[in-house]
Amino acid sequence: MGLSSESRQLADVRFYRVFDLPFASNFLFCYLLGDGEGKAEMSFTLSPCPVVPGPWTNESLIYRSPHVDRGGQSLSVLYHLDVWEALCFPEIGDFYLQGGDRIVGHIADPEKTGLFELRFLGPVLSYWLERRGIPALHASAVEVNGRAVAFLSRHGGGKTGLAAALMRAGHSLLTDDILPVEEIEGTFHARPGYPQMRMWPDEAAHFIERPEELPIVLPGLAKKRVPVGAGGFGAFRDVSLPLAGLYIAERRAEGPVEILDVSPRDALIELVRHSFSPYLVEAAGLQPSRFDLFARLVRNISVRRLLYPSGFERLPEVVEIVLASC
Amino acid sequence: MLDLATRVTVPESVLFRDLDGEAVLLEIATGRYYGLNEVGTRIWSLLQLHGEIEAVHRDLLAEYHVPAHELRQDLLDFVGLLISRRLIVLATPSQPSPPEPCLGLRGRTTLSLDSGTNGTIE
Repeated sequence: MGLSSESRQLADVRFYRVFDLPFASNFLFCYLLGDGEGKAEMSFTLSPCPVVPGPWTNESLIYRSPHVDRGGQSLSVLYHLDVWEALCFPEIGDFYLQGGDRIVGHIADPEKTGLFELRFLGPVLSYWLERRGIPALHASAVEVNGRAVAFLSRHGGGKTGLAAALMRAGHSLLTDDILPVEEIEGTFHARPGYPQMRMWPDEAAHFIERPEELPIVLPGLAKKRVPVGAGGFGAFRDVSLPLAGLYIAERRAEGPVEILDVSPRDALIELVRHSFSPYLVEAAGLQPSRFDLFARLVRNISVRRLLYPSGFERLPEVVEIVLASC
Repeated sequence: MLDLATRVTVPESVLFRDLDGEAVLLEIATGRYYGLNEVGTRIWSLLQLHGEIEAVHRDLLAEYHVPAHELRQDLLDFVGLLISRRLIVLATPSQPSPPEPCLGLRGRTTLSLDSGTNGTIE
């Protein structure tokens, strides 16, 4: 972007919108986010130093991630500090959550501002929503006939490629990678993410005209950052949509495209398996409510298994069959 | 030694959801989840109601047309599996007996417990 890490950290307060959550922030995002149009339900501001001075006691520790870096340090930790919950990503930064309307961030290493931004847009915001009874799934979603169709898969499972193929067929992106699901009076809604996708180089080469011009997500990572919407790839739909169906996407070497029914029991297992930040949610005591919502969801929303062969040349056929099944 | 006189309880850390006669168990502390088929779901419900394995055995005998000794062994094997996964625990003497159940279902005995671990990476 041509901006130093420090200079892009602080900016005038701007209004953004992610996951249908409008917020005000003085952090200058590299990612294209939705326009908050002057509205804010929450503020995200930067602090030059930790909001709560350390050291923090073990009594205030709620959660320590089982995933560790090469030095053996947990990748994330959650503390309860008086009026704050502090979600910390060692050597990257801390996020202090207070009440229902405030997040304060402290960047630990200016050279890792990109990672700091990704942590905010990923685990921090998804945790923020989870605290409000809106759990998130690892999924992409597109709009089909005014409703959301979502694809669940593990990392590398092809959910971005499926979404991109449907976008090429004229459908708008709702989200890539994180899908918050909100229950409103018994109906389930998919909240939109932000107008950007992260594609592997071969995906970008297939879907994008000039993939060599795309920036990488982060130094050292292969994935490309693909803007969506005006001036970018396809179109973006920045509103919550009723959820029409979920597909558990499984790519295989060869074979026909198959859509198989999934029992409610197996569907619930799949939602648990594909839920976002499961350990953090469990440690924060939010798993029972999440589990309840998923159980209600599988009783009301179609969940099916999508088996499809590898190969970009097969995606139009997959799109046709998926659309016919919607 | 597990026998029909054994009493068990379900830890608070285990969540159970019945979905059309099959069920999912989620063990919060570890994040492990398990699927139960219809018979497993029925047994789980009876264990929650009775606490005592003998009462569960009695109810199942009335519901399923299998020899008592076969059902006894299948049931104890299944309960042993649940205990090994920490989905149920042996009850202490101070824990009260739950109320008697209301019966009425019929089915085949096929016990199974499918499992997995939530491996989603943050």
